[in-house]
Amino acid sequence: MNKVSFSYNNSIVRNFAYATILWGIVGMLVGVIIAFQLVEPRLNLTPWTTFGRIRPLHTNAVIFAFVGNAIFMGVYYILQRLLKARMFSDLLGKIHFWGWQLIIVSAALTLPLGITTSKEYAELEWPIDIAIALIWVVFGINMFGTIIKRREKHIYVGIWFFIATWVTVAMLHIVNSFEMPVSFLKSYSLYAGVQDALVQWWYGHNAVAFFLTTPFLGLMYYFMPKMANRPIYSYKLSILHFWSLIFIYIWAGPHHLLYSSLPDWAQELGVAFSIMLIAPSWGGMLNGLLTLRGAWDKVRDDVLLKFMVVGVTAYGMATLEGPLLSLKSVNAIAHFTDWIVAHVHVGALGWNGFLTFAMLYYIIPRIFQTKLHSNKLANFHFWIGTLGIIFYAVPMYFSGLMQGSMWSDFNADGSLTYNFLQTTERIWSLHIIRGIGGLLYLTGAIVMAYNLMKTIGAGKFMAEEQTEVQIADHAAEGKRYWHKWIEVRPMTMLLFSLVAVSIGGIVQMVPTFVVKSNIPTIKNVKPYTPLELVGRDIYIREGCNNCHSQLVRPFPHETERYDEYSKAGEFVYDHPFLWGSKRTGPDLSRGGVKSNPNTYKDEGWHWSHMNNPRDVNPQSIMPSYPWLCDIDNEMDLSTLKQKINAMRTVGVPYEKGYENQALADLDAQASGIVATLKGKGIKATNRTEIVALIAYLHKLGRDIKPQEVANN
Amino acid sequence: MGQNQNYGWKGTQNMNIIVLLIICSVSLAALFLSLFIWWVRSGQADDLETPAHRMLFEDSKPNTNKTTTTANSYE
Repeated sequence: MNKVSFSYNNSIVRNFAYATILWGIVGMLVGVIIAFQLVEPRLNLTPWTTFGRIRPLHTNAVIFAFVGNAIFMGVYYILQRLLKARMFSDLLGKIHFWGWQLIIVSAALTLPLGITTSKEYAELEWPIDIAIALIWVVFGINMFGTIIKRREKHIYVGIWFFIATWVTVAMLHIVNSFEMPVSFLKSYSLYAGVQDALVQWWYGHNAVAFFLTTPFLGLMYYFMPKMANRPIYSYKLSILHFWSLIFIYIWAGPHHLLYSSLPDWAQELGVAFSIMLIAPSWGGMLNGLLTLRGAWDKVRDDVLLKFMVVGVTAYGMATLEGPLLSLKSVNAIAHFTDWIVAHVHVGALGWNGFLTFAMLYYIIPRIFQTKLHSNKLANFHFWIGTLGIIFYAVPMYFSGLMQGSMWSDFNADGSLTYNFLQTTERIWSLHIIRGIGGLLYLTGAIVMAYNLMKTIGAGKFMAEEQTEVQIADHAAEGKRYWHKWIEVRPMTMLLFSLVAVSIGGIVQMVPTFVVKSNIPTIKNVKPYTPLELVGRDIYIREGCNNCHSQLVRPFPHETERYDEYSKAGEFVYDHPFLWGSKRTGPDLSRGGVKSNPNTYKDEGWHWSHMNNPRDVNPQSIMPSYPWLCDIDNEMDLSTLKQKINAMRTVGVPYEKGYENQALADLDAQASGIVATLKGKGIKATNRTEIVALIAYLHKLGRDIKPQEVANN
Repeated sequence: MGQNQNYGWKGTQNMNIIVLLIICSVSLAALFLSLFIWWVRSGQADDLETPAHRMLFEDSKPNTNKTTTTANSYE
């Protein structure tokens, strides 16, 4: 038995806490704004604040800024205390903190500017992706360093969740971010079409799993017992929970692509693993809730526990709903609708939000050596937040079910009962209630910020928290073993081998499997012309894929509404894929099928529609894009050659030297569209952006129905 | 739709990416498995009762009695 004195570093915890509060409010505010943009399109205001550009800003801000900083706050607080060791390096902590904030700022700058890869939750362009990878490694070194120098032999279960988080997020981020740079802020995904979709949702699903779930389970396993002052219901169950969850989660990604062109066996695999996930998820939820067995009276008085109970319950609800949504029959109705939005917000607002609030209320008074300023305000926050979740989720469930059933409704004569706009109109009022729900939730967060500010003002910050540890016998006994096993090699080796596996291995594998692979060319499906390519990049810049899908599922109502269902072979030149995940507007993948008046609109229609959708459809909620029609706003062709070259590198068969001819081809195609527009009395030049966009929209689905075009 | 017959997904064409993803996923599973084996071997699983209790008592701060007056009355 010997005593060791040292101190916990609270400054880094405080910094992450401040960032959590700040970015949380910013991210939620953007969420409220985009919610009301779907009610009143005039709220789109400027080119930089249209729904398509700031919806990714909202998701990135709440996931990576709000929840991300909350994870780091919790991890830096917990690791030191559970491992009885100061964080490995104060400097790395600072680099981690400021690096992460810089990444967030760069996201906040680039996304409104339309600089995006279009891949959901991975929208940030390649230089920022590299920065994320580097900062993540810094975080990893700091975490594993602390684990190595720990004074407590046993690694508490919560920490295992952090380890799994770090390892998996590193792998997902790197694999999904392989892209071919065109210029400093533009790149094309290395993968195409179906492959790109599969990688993206393998990432997207596991970003939810390993960024929004596993770290928060780790946090729950610390804060729930701490706040209730009772041990976790079953430590054995928590171990079972951990190992089973991490083994199963990684396979569930394809449930985001049901009824798509992804091979059936991959879809079924995703479904099976999703169903299996109920077991570990509910094991975890019950373990958290049952910790309060015999102590439920505490929940009545303690606002922190209220947040925890609702948060963990929301986790249970979301993890039951997720597998149910993975069932193909349920997915057929729910996919592309508001149901999915409701589902993710139960998880995000309930589970991530409420656990984060509880953590902030727990940590801030402690490191500022004072009491929470007002329990009453915290209670107010709890109730208005809960109300906010209900007002958010319930109307969105209604709305989703309504969309799903109205879209698939047929008349007796075999025609569709509703056109798309009728469904948009029908859910309009529900979207208002949803917006109010978001506003309530945001109000709660602002009240919390005020409450914590007052707390901070009244307290005295304890940057260095002195502590004393008695090195107990069992630790000394363990020391012999894990000194040898861990301190000397394995953990360091683990770290380096991981970096090697993640980066080195994949750098070798990707070219082997992807670039040199024989991407099948189907004789009718042609690569994009230079003008179409430029139009596609405008489509990506404006974030059209946030509201419009390009994937027709093989259902009668979809083929009736949108024409021929999507085939894998159509997407071989799509770097990145643009299937989308939500139909706030109709599917666009048959915009070029001239024979179908439901999907094909002529040049003049597109011009008027983009200039102001209300001129064409008075009920439309789409933003206006007058700058696309502005002849003074010319398309950016400075990187056209690089674009062709980059596409060729990732496997699109542009002939050698085609980059030199691209501009002439572009002008030839553009003047045709300009002439057609002129015939309708619309002024445009070869450089007007709308011309490229029309060319792109008219390319969609054209190749798959070449005969109809010829006959038309 | 006779002319569309050859557009569907056939055999293994176009899906090599799944090999990469399976390699990644299996390596991750293998890594977690080796971690699990290490976890059992190194004695992490020897005692699955006390860790749950021990974590409740780790905050002993000899120099800061003030911190005990926190928001939560049960402390």
